[in-house]
Amino acid sequence: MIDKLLFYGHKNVKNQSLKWFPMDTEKLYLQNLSKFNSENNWKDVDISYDFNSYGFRCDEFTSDNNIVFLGCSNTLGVGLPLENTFAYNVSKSLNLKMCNLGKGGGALDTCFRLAYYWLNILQPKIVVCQMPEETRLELRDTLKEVEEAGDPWKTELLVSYTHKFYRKHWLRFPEQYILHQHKNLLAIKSLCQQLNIKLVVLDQSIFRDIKDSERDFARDLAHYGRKTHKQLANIVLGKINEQEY
Amino acid sequence: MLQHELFYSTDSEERWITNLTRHTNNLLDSGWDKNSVIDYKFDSHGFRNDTDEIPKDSILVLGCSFAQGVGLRKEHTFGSILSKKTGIPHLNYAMQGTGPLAAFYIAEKFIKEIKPKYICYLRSMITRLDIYEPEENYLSFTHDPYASVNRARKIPYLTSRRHLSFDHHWLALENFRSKVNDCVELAITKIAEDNNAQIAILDCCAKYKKGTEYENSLLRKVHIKARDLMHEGPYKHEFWASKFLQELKLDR
Repeated sequence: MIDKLLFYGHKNVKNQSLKWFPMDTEKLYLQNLSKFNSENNWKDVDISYDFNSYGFRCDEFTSDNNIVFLGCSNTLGVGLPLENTFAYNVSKSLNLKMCNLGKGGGALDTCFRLAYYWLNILQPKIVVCQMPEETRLELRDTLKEVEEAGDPWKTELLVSYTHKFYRKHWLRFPEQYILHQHKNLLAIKSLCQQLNIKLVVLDQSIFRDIKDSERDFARDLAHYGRKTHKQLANIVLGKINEQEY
Repeated sequence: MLQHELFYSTDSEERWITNLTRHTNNLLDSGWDKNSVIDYKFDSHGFRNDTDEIPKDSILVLGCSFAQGVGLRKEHTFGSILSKKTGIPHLNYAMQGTGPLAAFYIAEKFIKEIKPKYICYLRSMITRLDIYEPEENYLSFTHDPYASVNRARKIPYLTSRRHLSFDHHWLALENFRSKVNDCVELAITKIAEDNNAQIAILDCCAKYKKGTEYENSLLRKVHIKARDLMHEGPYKHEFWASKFLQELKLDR
């Protein structure tokens, strides 16, 4: 039997439309009100987080003309209206249907897990993989904890930054998580190769490469903002064009 | 530096002495008596190879203690059988006590250097979780019950089977572990392809019921075990060798 939890995004918010989504919370918004400026002006801006039946921030999936985005909250677009996200704009430019498999708090483990299940079904023309922070690790939590999870941030699949095991052993030697990330990326490449899908990889440095003057922040003042996503969309489109069809 | 050991991993002297007194008939049934000697030789990385030399266009063996041949003389391991049947030299880079992640780490680290022509990966138990540990003092961490008797083990990987978090998260659901294992296999396959090597993967725990007539004759003798009476014996290794030859199309 297939474990359904393995192919969900944010299962706890499936089929829901939310005004706030961690870490873009109302509480943080109120705290940030005095910090908003002309560069990052989010006062009275409404954002709608609409999740499909699998807990992803996009429309219901169909099997043709797709582009898949893998990544973390930056791909999901935390703190941004959907139409400002790079995933939305890349899809629109290419006239492809956006399947945004970005997951808040996600690791590259998450990207592989979702790619492994969904690529075969969605048969996308292109996969864009935005690599989450390399130190992240996704472990399966026990069923009991899954049932107890009510907060959308308390994910069904655990990325535990505070867990003793994680701190004591995972972060102890960078070789550990660098190799782990490399393994996941190779596996995603292998999947795409087998399915004849074009793959564009965006590593963490992509954000650093965007000029400071072109970098701004989302409503939570933590994630990247409209201008940064616009730049990112251009970079992705450039990378897609670099590769021949 | 090359090393020799007369006992190794679960094939420990302590177990040997116990088996000689308590399981004498089982040992005799598997062809072992009190004078049986196994000379384990290890290369400077701690892998079961007689020398540090890296032959060209070799067969690279990956996996756990089954692939390493714990409890068996080297000539009875499937790697040696493959070499004997094909004339292609092999390198055994399997490591006892490890899981699929360690196989990936080893593949990533050594395949580019070795440039093997063929890779035979005997997949180990997917319940195992390997954490990279480059310091020599990894033994103080590991919960692998065999690590403390494994002085030849120089490779900085460990398998924590009894760690609390491990039990709690890693072993929680089989489907999750399978996914991780599939990820490892895809990654190793990609490394193999990128380095122009042909890869075949078998499962060390798979139950085989039927094969060719030759394989069936081997399967009838798989009750013959390694010296530790835990690991598979020479006939199962011959069987694996036969399967790998088929997978790699070297049997023609």
